[in-house]
Formats: sequence, C-alpha cells, structure tokens
Amino acid sequence: MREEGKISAYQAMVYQVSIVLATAILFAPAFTVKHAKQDAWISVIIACFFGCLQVYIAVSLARRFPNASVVQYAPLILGKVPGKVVGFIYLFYFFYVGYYVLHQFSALMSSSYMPLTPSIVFMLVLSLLAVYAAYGGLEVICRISSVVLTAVLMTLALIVVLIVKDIKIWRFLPVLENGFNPVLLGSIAPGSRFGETVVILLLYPFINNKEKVVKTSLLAVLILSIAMEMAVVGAIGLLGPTEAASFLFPTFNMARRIKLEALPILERQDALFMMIWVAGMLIKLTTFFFAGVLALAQWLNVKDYRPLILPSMAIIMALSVQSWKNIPELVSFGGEAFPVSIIFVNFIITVFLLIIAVIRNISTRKT
Amino acid sequence: MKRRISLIILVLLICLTAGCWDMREVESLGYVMAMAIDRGPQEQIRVITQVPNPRVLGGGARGGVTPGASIATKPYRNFEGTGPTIFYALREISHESSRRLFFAQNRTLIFSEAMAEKGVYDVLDFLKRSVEIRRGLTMVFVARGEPAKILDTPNPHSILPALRIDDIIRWRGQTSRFAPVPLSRFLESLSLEGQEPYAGVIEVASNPTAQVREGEKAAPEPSSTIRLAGAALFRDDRMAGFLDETETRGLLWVLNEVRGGQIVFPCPGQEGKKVTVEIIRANAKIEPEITEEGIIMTVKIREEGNLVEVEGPIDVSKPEVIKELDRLHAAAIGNEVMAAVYKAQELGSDAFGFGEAFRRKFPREWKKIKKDWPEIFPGIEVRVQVVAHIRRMGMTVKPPLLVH
Amino acid sequence: MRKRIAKKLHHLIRNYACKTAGKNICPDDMDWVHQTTVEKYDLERIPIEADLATNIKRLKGISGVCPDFIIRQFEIGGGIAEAAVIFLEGMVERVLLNENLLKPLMIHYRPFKPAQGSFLDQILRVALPVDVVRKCVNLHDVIDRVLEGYVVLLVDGESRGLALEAAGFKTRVPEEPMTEAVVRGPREGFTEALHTNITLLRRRLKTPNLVLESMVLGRISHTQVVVGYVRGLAAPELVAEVRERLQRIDIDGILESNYLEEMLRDHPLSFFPQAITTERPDRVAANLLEGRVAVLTENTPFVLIVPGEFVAHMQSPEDFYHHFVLGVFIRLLRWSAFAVSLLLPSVYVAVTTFHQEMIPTRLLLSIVAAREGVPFPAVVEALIMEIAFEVLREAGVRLPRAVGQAVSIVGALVIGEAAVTAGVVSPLMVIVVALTGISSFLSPSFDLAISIRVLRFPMMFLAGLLGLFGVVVGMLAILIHFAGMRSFGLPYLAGLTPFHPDDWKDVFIRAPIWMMSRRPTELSKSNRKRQVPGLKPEPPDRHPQGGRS
Repeated sequence: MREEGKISAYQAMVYQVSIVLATAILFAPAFTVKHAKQDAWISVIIACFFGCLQVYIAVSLARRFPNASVVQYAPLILGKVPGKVVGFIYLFYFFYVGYYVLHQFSALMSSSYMPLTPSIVFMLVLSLLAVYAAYGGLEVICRISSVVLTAVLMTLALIVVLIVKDIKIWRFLPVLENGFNPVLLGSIAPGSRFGETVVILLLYPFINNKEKVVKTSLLAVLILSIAMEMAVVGAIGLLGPTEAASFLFPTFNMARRIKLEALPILERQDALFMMIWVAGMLIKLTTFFFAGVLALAQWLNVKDYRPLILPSMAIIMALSVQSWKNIPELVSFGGEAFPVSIIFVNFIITVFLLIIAVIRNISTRKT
Repeated sequence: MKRRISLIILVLLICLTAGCWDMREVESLGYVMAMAIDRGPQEQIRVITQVPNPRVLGGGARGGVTPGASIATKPYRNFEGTGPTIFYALREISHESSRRLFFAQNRTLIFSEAMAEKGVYDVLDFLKRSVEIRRGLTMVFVARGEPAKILDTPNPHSILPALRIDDIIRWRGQTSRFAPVPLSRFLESLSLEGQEPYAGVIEVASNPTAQVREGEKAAPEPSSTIRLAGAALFRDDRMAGFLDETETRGLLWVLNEVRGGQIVFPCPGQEGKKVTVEIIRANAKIEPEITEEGIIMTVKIREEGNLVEVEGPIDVSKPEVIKELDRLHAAAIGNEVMAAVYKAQELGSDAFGFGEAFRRKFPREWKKIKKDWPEIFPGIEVRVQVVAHIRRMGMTVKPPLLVH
Repeated sequence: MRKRIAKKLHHLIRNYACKTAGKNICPDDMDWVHQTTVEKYDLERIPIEADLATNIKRLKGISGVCPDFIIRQFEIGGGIAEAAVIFLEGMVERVLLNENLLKPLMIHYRPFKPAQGSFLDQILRVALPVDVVRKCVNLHDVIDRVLEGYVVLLVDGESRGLALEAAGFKTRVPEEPMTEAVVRGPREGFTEALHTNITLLRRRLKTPNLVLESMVLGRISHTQVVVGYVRGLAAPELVAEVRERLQRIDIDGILESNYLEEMLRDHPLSFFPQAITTERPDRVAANLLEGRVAVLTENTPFVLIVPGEFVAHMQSPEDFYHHFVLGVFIRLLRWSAFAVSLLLPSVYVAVTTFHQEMIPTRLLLSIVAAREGVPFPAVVEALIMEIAFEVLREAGVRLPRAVGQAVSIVGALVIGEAAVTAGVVSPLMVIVVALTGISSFLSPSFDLAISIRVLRFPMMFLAGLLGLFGVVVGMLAILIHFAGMRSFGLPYLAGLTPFHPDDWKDVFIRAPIWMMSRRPTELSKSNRKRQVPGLKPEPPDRHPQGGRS
C-alpha cells in the first residue's frame, strides 16, 4: 500500500469536521426541528453525546490496529469472508454518502439558485473538483479542508452575528412542550451525521501523533455540535419552529432573512453564502470520496488508489443521477432511511467489530 | 498530454455552446418594485406590478413626474395581468412587457381590500414557495381603495411610488402609527395557533398643498399622495377589519414594534393645554394568568421618552411634576393599548399573540382550549401596566410663559 | 510524456558527445575549430607547450579573427624571455594591465637573484603587483580565464601560464530598483555585476556563516551562479536540494535568472511563482535570515530566493520599515487588492447577469440605466475591456517613456471616454476594469501579479457561464492547485495551512518587530529563535531597574 503521507491528529480532526459539516448544518436542522420543534437545541446536545460515543468507540477500535485501516483488519477480526463483507459495507458507505451528497448539492443548487441549469452540470463540476483534489492525496485534502473549514465556520458565525438581533427568545418557549420523545427523535438526524466522524477508522494509520486522536476526535464532534447548534438556534430564533420546519433548507432561509437597516447592502447577499457553502460541499464530497477510494484500494489490495479515482467517480455520478427522482423523495430519504443506514454502519458495525475484537483479544498493537 | 488538452478544450466548447442557462443580462429584466394583488371577476386573480423604466431613470433621474406626463418620460410602468392563479396572472404580463419580470427586488406587496376580505390563502403558497421573492424584505399592506391608483400616485421626491413606500417605511419610527409587516412575519403568524396576522394599510390621500394656478396645465405639487396609516387585522387569511392610527400603535406597543413616535396628553392643572412626549424606546411583554374568573392577560410596558412640548406654563424642573407627567403619559399609552384590544376583540382577531403567550406559559392547558380560542379571545380580560419615564426635556426646563 | 522527451534528449546529447570526443584531434592542425564547436574536453587535452609560438598559433586558431581577442607579444626585461599577454579588450582594466603588468615586466624587470623554482614563479614573486593570480596548464584554462576577464601571461619555455585578475568592464552602479521602489528603506538595488551584488549582500550580513557557493552553468554562456545561505539557519537538506537541482541544469546559456527558475520549479506547468524574485539586497538578506536560500545569477539584477511559497509573495520588505500599524494596514489592503484584482471583473459579471437580487435597488437601477443600449453581454463587455486594458498596459511598458505618456492619454481618454459615450461599454465596466488594474499594482511580487492577470480571464469565463457558482469553482480549483503544490519541500500554502498561530503574525498582518521572536515554523524547523523574547520597549520609569531616575 502506497503511503499517503502523514497527517497530524489536528489535520485528522479537520478531516472529520469537514466530512460532516456542510450538509449537516444545511439539511439536518430541518429534520430536527420537524420532530423536536422549539426544543431542537436540546436535541443537538443529545446528538453531541451520541456523536462522542460513536467516535470514541471508533477510536477504541482503531487503537487496537495502529497500522491498518478497518477495511484491512476486519478480516483479521471476523475471518476472511465476513471480514471482506464488512469491509465492503464500509467502503460502500463512503460511496453511498458521496452520491447522496452530490445529489443533495445539485438539488439545492437547482432549486434555490439556478433553476434552468441542468443539475448534471453541478454534479459534473463538483465531482471534477473532487477528483482533482483526490489526485492530490490525503495531505492535500487536509490542507484544502482546513482553509475551507475556516471560511465555512467563520461565515456561519457571521450569519449568526448578523441575525442575532432578530432572534426572539420567546420562539424557544415552552420548553419540552410535548415531552422528551420528540426531542430524542429529533436528535437522530444530527446524531447520525455526527457519526460520520468515524472516518477516523480509515485515517488512523496515517496519523503521526496517535496519542492525541481521542482528544481531537471528541473535539471534532464538539466543533460540529457548536456549528449545528448555531444553525438550529438561528433558524428557530429567527423563523420560529413551525416555519423552520416547513422550509426545505432552514439554514439557507436564515441567511436569506438577514435584515439590517443600518447596512442594507448586506441584505440579500445569500449568494455569497452559497459560495462558501459550495466550498463546504466540495470538501464534504472530497473527504467521503477519497475515503471511499482509499478503502476500495485497500479492499482490493491494490498498491495505488489513483487509478481507481476516475472509475469510482463515474459510478458515483451515475448512482447520484438515477437514485432520486424529485426533492420529496430525497427529503424523505434524508429523514428516514439515511440516518438509520449510517447509524448501522458507523455505530452498530463498529461496536460489533470492537466487541468481537475484545472478546477474541485481537490487536496488532505492541504492548 | 495532447489528448488531455484537446479533451479539456472540447468540454469547454460544449459548455460554451450549451451553457449560460441561467444567465440573464441585467438590463433584460423588469424589476418588480411593488406588487398588488386583487380579485378579478370570477374568482380570478388580478395582479399589478410596478416596473421601473431605466431609460428615464438614467437620463433624467433629477426630477419627479407630473401626472399626465407622456409615457416616454415616465420612470415606471404598471402592468396588469389576470388569470386563474397568481403565477398565471404574472406570466400574462409577459404578453405586454419586453422584460422578464424579476421579483427579488420587490419590497412592497399590496392586497386589495376585496382580496383581503375574501382571503389571501390562495396566493400565499406561491409567495412562500417562490425562489425569487424575499420574504424578509417584502412588506405586506392592505390597500384602502384601488391598488392601481396607489401604484400610480406620482410624487416629486422618490422617482417610483414603490421606492416612496419604502422610504416612508424606513421612517416608521417617527409615529409608529402604521404597521408594516414583513411577509415572513405575516406567514409565521398565520402558521401559529395563537396568533393572527396583521398588515399595514396603504391609501391615497389628497394633497392639500397642491395649488392649481390659473394658466398652468398642472400643479407643481401632485394633487394626491401615498399615505401609510393604520393596520388591518386578519382572522386566519381573511381580513377582519381596520384599526385606526391610535389603535394601530396600541397593537404595536404589545408587539414590541414601537420604535418612536409622539404621545399627547393633557397638561396637569391647565385646562385645554397639552403636553407632548417623544417615545425613545419601549419594551413590552405579555403575562398570561389563569384565575377563577378566566384567563387574564397582563401587558407590561416599559417606556422611556423625551419631553418635546409643554403648552401650559408648568415647571418641569420639579421632580414631582415630572412624576405627574410620567403617570399621565403612562395612562395615555394604556388607553392606546386598551383601544386596540377592544377593537381586536370586537373583530375577533388575536393579532397580539395572546394565545401564543398563553401557549408558551401553559402548554398543557393550551392544548385543551386551542380549538376554542377564537371564541375565548373576545372574552378574555386584558390588563395593561405601563411604567413610563421622561428622561430628557430638550434645551430648556422652563416653558416660555412660566414666570417665577 | 515528459520522460520520453527527456530520454530522447539525453540520447541525442550522448551521441553528439561521442562523435566529437571520438574525433582524432590534432592539436597542430587547428582547422577543426572552424568546422565544429570547441568543447571543454577538447581544449583540456591541449596542454600549454613550452614553445610560445605554438601556443599562440593554437590560441589564434581557436579564437578565430575576433577583434577583441588580443595577444600582445613582448620581451621580458629587454630580452630575458619571450612572452605574451592574452586578454579580451573591454573586459580588462587597461591602466591596470599597462601599469601593473606590462610595465614591470618590460621595463623594470631585472633578474637579481639566482632562480628559485621556475622562471615563472620568480616573475610572480618579485615582478607582478597583482593580487589574484591563477595558474593555467592547458588551453581550456587559458581561454576560460580570458573570457572571465583575466589577463593570461604565457612565457616562452614555460609549460604553464599565469592568469592575472584585471577585470574591469563597464557595469551599472547600484541604483534604486525599478520594480520595487520604496518610500522608506535602502535605495540600493542589485546590478548586473555579480561581485557588486555579493558585496551588497555581504554588507548586510556580516557573518562568516553567510555561505556563498559558486558554480558555473551554461555550456556556452558560462554564467556564474552563486548559491547563498546562512549556515545554521537554512536547512541543510534545502541547500543540498538547491545545489543538486542547479547542477542538474545543462543548458547552452543562462541569460536571466528566470532560465534557472523555470528549471528549479517543483511544478513546471503551474504559472504561479515558485521562487521570490527581487532586485533588493535587503529583501534577500531578510529572507536569508528566515532560512531561505538565494540564487544570484551573473548579468541580471534579479535574485531568486527559494522556497517561494504563496504568502512570501504578499510580503514586502517595506512592511517592516514603517510603524507596524501601517504595516498591518498595508498588508490588509494588499490582500484585499489581491482579491479585487483576481475577482472583481468576474464577480461583477456574475452579479449583474446571475444574481441581480444582490445589488441594492438604487445601484441596480443605475446599472440598468447605464447598460441600456450596450450591445454586448456583460461577460463579453468585460473581456473586451480587460483585453483592451492589457494591451494598453503592455504598450505602456514597451514604448519609450515619452511616448508611453501619450499611450496612457489615448487609453484613458480616447478609448475609455469615447467607448462610454458611444455606448459600446457601460461606465461601470470602465470603473471595474480600472479598479482591477490599479489593484493589481499593489502586489509586491510582479510574478504573482502576472499570474493573477492571466487567471482573471478564465475566472470571467466561469462567471459568465455559471455565475457566482462558477467563480467559487474557479477559486476552489486554484485552492486545490495551491494545496497540491510545494516549493522545495515547503507546502505552497505554508503560513496559511497547516495552521501555526505563531506564523500568522506575518501573513495577513505584520506584528511589531519585538513580537516576532520566532522564524516561520515550516521553514526553519531546527533554529526557530529569531530574537530574545520580551523586547517590547518600555519607558524607563516603568522598568524594574528604574532607568534614568
């Protein structure tokens, strides 16, 4: 296996945050608010704990095998055939989210900004950029991510600052109107997406200061929770829970709702936020896509992942184009099937692997 | 390498020939600056849109227009379209307009009185769904009188009637006696169970300063002018009735939307003399209670104002006089609120959000009564507690007639 | 592909070398020099004979009939020995030659001691008041020295020659650099003469640790190239890498440092500058202190500094010559101007043709009014104006200064004003193009400014195609490109990412000098300390020692 350069634990954290961020803050609030209404901010806190749990389990698993990725050591834990099957589930998961993200991206671009442009154009452009970045390798992706991530987080903070005067506290009342169950239900959407940070299972062998990984991984979930909390609080405080739930992309409407009497020039600038968000989508797609290609190369035991890049992207494009016919299908998928399926991979399979590894006491770590 | 380059060139060429899907040149659009929606015959929707005429704006943006000016020099055009749905009606306009209508710059949405009375629900979905319409920036009004006339009221200061409306809204804090509301807020209150929407009222008033001299074709002052005053209360999507200007401010007090304005009350101990206070800031909250007699809503208002005018010769340098003035002007505020509440209860429209306040405090009880809220609302008791303070009193402490 | 070409070239060169080397050269029959190029290894085989006449004959054969190649024959000390000086007219100081060489040998030379060693040694010890002297053993040495400006002395009966330093060609005196003028700061710039440049550098870094390694590159041009670095600051691997990459260069001539830069690059196809080019000795010194390596090339005032990451191109030495607040302000201004010069036309095109909702209403109305009647789409209008601007700029640079003025008048007044009046372009577009042009002059690095100039066009193209989405796609492509680049092992985005808070003192802002206690992280891994911490000056009475009390 060709070494993909070494990254630091902090770069891995950037990767983990990037892999979740762009879609999570845009799409997850709608689902959360739909269930939890004005209590969605509590859901995010619960989701944060759930995310921490998932990533902690993943890191515990990864630490048993410091020099291999999950695709490589799954056969060690489970035996050859089941291990390969699990490896395939992981790698398919990356592609699966990849094409979901690609479709989400084009759906939003064509419904909110450029209705006449065929959505394949957006997919094509974004996937070409992702391919370009993937050719650069892990280090390059980490560098891109850290630049884009800074921009995305700063923009999110800027939006919140601009709307903070219009946030009405009363929109968050009453607390726990319908009991705790809707809040729990609402935490599934963000919680499952925070689980995407288990990509650390794949990155672990490339990290040079492995002792910091627990800390940085939890920090990654924390950063994500804060970002998500900003999005949710902003959306509810500005739009109100009912309105927020009725929009497809409440975070977007939040940016659209910026209103400043002193500086009217900053109103209606949501196309600028679109630019930042496109960058966020790019790193999201790239991180997933790259993880998928890397996993595929490891699964197939090929030396270099680079020849796999173009064919994989072609497959992702094809799946993305034909998987959903319209926005309602996409939305209901994102609310129901998607979280369940990624929880299955990120949480259940990982826990399962960890338990078997502990019981059979398999580890390649030098003690 | 050569093959790769030629591939890139090919892709670029394809993009060029097939591309530019969403491109529209800036001058090819008709920017809708104001939109009025009315009911046409047979349940049809009639829309009027105001589109600026940039040729005139660019060349002669210096002065206003006088009525009867030729089309070539008029800085705007109003287009009218009728159709079974609002989108259909808007597209009807393209038969007349050389430019594609573009709504993202629109800041004014006017419902005709007839439309508002019959219910605006039919067009709301379009307004909420549209990608172009900026719901946070579009202000909702109900027109008293013919909307087409409002949108064609000439004015010397702003070039377009739409921009004039926008400018008037900007200074709403001068009186707080009209109630512009963003479309987003309108939609939100419609979606809330315990709150009804309201909208501003727009009308054409005659301009008394216009003097037609003999031998002149048109007066230099236009004979009529756009005026924003008052509010319209809705019950669900149907307009229930109008509030007058005092009542409107009563509503805005409760909604926390008062940004300034003037309060006039009688001068203590001086028959027929009045004191005027300018509102600086105000803050209100609703506190619902459940008592044996029923639901009581207490509206607590804190206000700060500056003394701007004292007609009677009273010594305002004395703290006890100020205290008295504070009490009187608090009472004046309370009267405004109560007037609004009575009117709203009469119309059966809870635009104050009393129901919402109740829901927030008593979510469980709310579930039981929310179905009957429209019946309960007219009967609830509303109390107003106003704490008002005069902070400053201008450049002098003594009225001119006060002698010591 | 590239490999294939390289292989082919290598093959060709080897064949050629074999052919000439294999030829049976007869030193006395010099006709061959008229038929083929004189190669180093040919000349190295021809020793200096004891017979002066043979040597002269051969040298004449090699030099052909060059009018500046002068062989002056004379007798030492009035008949003691036959001798000749060989030099290039114009390359040597005539007074020096006549006074310190010919005069003592021809007029004053008296053999007064029994000969110790050879005759040549004796002359050298007693008769030649010349400081730098080198020995020559074959004709290659002779020719080489002569070409460098030495005077070579051949004496009959000696099979060696003496090369005496007497170089004295016309050079420019150091004057204020044209491309990097400063308001405050040293006004000396590098010149074409290498030794002047080295002196300018030495004067700034007076330490034995300033190492200057010389090498001669260029098969025909024989250009002297000096690699300079501060020992202990520059990473040894970096120095070795520079040395190795320079030695790999096998080219006929190096006329300017860009010849080197193009061959030193890590990413030859990327047109972003990967080395800092400067004419300012202070800038070189500052960069050497950060642990970089300078490459000085003969015959050009432009010195290369590697590694040249992106951020380095946004820094100007003058940032440190003013108060730091001004430095911060200028840095911020420069970054914004950078963004403007890259993005303004494309954002203008994108916003006016795709995102009309972003423009404030009244501004929008005046844009519409201005564009009314313009026959071209905004993107075409922008392209036309930008190209016109580039043409004018290029014309202004190339034309003689007096005419250049006329060009700017024609450009600004006639083309701009007339085009607007005629309604061919909108006045706003003229403003946009002008702003873009002005902003691009803020870049302290000319190379970066050029890259941005070129990049503007694809960005406009993307903006016209996809609006702001296209713009962001272009920016992301640039970002990915940057992220994948390295300059001599240093990530091109070093300073920005990976994130080192310490380095940010010198990226978007310029921290006070007393705060910059560490060198850039990625650049100087081992020797990070730049100065003593806690240098912030304080008034004496607040000082614990009391100061002047």
